Amino acid sequence: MSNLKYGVSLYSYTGDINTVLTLEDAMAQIADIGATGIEILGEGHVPNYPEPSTAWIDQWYGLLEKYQLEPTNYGSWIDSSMWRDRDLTADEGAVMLARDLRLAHRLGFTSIRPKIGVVSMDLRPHPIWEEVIERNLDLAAELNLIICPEIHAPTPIKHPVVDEYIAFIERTGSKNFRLLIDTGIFQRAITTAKHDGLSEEAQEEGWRKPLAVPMSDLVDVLPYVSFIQAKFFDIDENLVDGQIPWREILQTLKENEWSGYLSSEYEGDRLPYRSIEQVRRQHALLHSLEAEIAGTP
Amino acid sequence: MVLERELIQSRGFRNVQEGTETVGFEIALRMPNYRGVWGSLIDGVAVTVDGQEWSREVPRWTLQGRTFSIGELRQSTDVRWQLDELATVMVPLAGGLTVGVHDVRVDIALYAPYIPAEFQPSIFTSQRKVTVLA
Repeated sequence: MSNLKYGVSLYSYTGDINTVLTLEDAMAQIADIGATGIEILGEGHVPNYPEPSTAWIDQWYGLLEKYQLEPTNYGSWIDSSMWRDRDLTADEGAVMLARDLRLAHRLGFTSIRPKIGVVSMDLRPHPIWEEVIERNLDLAAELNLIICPEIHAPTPIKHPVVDEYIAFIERTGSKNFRLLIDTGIFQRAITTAKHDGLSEEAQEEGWRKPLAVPMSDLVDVLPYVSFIQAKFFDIDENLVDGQIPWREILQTLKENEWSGYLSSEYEGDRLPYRSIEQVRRQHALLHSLEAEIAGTP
Repeated sequence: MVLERELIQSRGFRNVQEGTETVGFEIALRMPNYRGVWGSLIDGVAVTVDGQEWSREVPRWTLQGRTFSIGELRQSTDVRWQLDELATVMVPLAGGLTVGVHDVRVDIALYAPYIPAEFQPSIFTSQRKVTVLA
């Protein structure tokens, strides 16, 4: 039996958070669409990161209770090139990840996504990744956290990076390392959404180009997938998403009996309040598709 | 307290005095990225006011109550620019800016190690008219 749960990443509200939305406003929005999970970025949404005040932590738990939300995935970073003259060492990376594991646990999360610096155009992670993760597997087990790097465009599923992650799972036998799939890899049509800060060239090279990973590739790795970021760019007034094939994605998850969270990541144009309406449309679309699929004999 | 949506905040745009002299002006900026970053990932801000330009190497940065040159910030290990905290950048200019409305543009450069080096740093641009009161 597949059990799909729905959540929202605060990433969706980028630009709106701290300007037109407080944390509580965002949580009220998430609860209002019937979602049960909240995903955050540690370095984005925790005031005074990496050392939030106890008052803020109390407020966080108070709001989770008030809006009946459960913490899902916590986004963290291992910035492998922090300085101009040298790379991060594995020691420093391991300390960084341990700090985020402890903070994620303190805030009630069960999943953590470290975003690791890259060393090539095809986004190969910095070679320290393996040692940094391996040295934290026991801590993750103790804190009941799953560490899951994200498979994100322009890296497809059939790629040495993913092969290495799977080999790592097989070798260590750890239950605390899995994959996170970002649905941007299934993008079928070009998006005109502007990604702030990236040059036109960078956007053309990887952030706009439809990668169109086939569903059969998802099926192959699904047993290793613990979390899905439901990336999207634009859903129109008729609840049509021109880029991401949601029907096929949901069908694949259902047929292969995958259970877990689909956590909205709106990445379209950053006009004030647009994110709120877009996330609502996405959830309306996903719910109607799931009902439709369930009704099919 | 919520911040202004524009990266360049109205609040905090002012001339800076040292003793009896006006030595420059400062601008308060909202973090343009979707996450906060460690100070060493900041590669500076180029500032243009009414057509006059200052390169990324010039402005001084105040983050979390501490002031840095851009060189010091690139070497820093323990200061952050958070999403909910403003950065104050100070541009040296003898006599400061005239009282009134100015056309201000900033090009903020940030490193993101998870994006290939070829496309680094990311540049976030913002331009608006803001007012100096004194």
